[in-house]
Amino acid sequence: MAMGLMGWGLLSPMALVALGLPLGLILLSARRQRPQPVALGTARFFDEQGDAATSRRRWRVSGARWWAAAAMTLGVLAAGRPQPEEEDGAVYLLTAHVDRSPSMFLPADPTEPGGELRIDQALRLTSSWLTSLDPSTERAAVRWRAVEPGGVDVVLDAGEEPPRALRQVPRRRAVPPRWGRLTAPGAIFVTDQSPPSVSREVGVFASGGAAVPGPVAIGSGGLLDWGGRDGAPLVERAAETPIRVFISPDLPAPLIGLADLWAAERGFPVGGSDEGAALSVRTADPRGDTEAGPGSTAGRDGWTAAFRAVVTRRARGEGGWRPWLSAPDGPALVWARSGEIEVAFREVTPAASTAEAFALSWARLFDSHLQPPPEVVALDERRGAGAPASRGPQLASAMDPEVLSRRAGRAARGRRVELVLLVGAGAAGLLAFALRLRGSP
Amino acid sequence: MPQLPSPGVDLGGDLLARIGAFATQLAAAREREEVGRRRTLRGDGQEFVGYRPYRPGEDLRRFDWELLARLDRPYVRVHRSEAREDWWVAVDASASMGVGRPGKLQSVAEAAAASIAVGLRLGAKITLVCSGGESARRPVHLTRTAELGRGLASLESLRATGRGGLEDLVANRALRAGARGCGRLLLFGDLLDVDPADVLRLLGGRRRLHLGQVLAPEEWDPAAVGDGDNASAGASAFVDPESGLRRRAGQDLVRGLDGYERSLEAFVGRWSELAAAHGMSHRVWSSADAFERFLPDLLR
Repeated sequence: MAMGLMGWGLLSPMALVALGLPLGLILLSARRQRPQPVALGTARFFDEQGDAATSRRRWRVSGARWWAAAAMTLGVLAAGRPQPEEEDGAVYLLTAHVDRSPSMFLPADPTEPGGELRIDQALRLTSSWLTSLDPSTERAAVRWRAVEPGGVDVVLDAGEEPPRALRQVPRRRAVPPRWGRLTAPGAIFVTDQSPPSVSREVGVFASGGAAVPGPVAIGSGGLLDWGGRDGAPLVERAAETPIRVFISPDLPAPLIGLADLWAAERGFPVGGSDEGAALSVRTADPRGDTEAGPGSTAGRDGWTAAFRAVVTRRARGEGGWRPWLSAPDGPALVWARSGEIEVAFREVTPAASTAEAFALSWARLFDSHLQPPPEVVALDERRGAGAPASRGPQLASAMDPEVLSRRAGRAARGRRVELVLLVGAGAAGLLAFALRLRGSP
Repeated sequence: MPQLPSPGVDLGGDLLARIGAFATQLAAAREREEVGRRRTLRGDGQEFVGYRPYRPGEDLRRFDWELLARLDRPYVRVHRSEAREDWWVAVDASASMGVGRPGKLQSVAEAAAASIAVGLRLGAKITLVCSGGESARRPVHLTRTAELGRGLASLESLRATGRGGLEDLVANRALRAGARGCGRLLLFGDLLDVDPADVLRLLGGRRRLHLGQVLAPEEWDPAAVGDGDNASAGASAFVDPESGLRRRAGQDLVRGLDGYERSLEAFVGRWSELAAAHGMSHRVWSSADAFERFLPDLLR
């Protein structure tokens, strides 16, 4: 919209060139109206009113021509497609989903362990593209969102730097994102390895990166190191910091015994505090100040047990907590997340017939939620992430719905004005035609 | 000086056919009217013209007994008079006659041509005189219908120019003397430059004087000059093509029109009154009118 007046502009300002038509008509009419002396044999019958030489040129244009010029002017303005000129806020709404799984915090170049991380590189690529947008035509707001539950979620202008919090290692290990569920107009995937099949409307900024050797699991004698090539045997070495298990003393006695046995079997020392433990098994109500409810019978994996003095545990769906065991009537009895297990009962009596399944099931629970030291990264994540990728999303599909709505409103107002102009042009044209028929030139 | 819109004459197209039809029609009517009168253009002359039904009281010597026996109806013989009447036709070709679309000169040339055709058809001898140029010094004499073309050619050669109009003709002693013996004198022009006293001097004996006065449409209505609803917008001044007199128009035109119309009406009225008072035939018309509309009354 190059031209504007009183808050209105023209979508096709080049149409104004056609204003030369009515202007030409007026000028031509004025030229044709240049007065001429007329021969009249009976001129003597006019009274003497002065010397005709003083007659001035008159710039009079007939009514028909005025109306014709008005019709043309209105038509030209309508052809210019008028629309209100208003500032839109953010025109495009983008959502940058930042992968914060452990691989993102591996060094981009394995030969420089203290150098740039994959997440730094991916964010840099993303910022580079965002700042390349022309603010005058491609203004965008970016919602920076860490994919792990409860992570960063802020909206910034496209020109601003991504939030620093995104570069901090999450307290709990994040699982790799399920990109398919995040596919949406305006979505940007910030990751290390470009997803194999992504919709073209989604942007992908992947750092890429070579395989990073290092510990991939916890062995019985320490950490298992991966050498960087598949097929080679893993080498066990001692962990720099010991892997410790915390078992809360106020747990029901069967669970304490079971956890102690499991830790001894795995070779993990038990004790210390909750802080820094690779696995913490505790009650949901450590001080016992919550009134216990009635008992319940529940089970899974082929075992059943009687639970008594069940307490109501706050529902904590966020933060990665998941119920592992629930009573038939609803309340969850066991909650778990990586490195932590909470039980919501004070007494448990496994059925004697399923005691073996009970022990095996709980041992699997402890194994699956054991949080290894930070240097342990799964083998899949340590593998190479391929080449860097940088592809912006399709902006057309990321238009801010509010802006779209405002634009639609403006377009509708513009069309109404266009219609009024066209009707006016038609009416003026008809009037000019009627005057012409009446004899006006 | 503005250019005259219609300075010439064009007698082409279907004009000749119109003139022929008009002359036949008017001459026949005239013969019917005058055949019973004693003083007619036609009398008991030798040239046999034809028959007409007998009217009670007529001279039985003109009765055709043979036709009565054959048709069982009474008819009388009609002869063309041996005493032919002289007609003088004078045409104004001064510059003011070039005004109008169609021009006044074109209109009077058509009227004069039709009058000449009627006169020849009635057996009159025609003398055509025109003001301005060679024509004024060389009257054209026509005695037979076959010579009509010569008269038309003379009229077609006219161009509206100069200041000498009908006044030059009527005030010219030699011409007056030549016209003295004629039975009818037809003056065609705008009569703007003619002194009525000079016209009255042309009267005498049994001579009949016919005054054909033409004005252009814009002379009838100067406000019509210009653009429709913006009439007269195109005229800054009105100029007399003969005297060069200029009158400013423009915004004063509407105010000036009242006085103009009064003056024009008085001018035309004076000629009508003069004609009525001295037994002259006078007709005034617009140059846009066809001669068939006014000429029968003028020639009556």
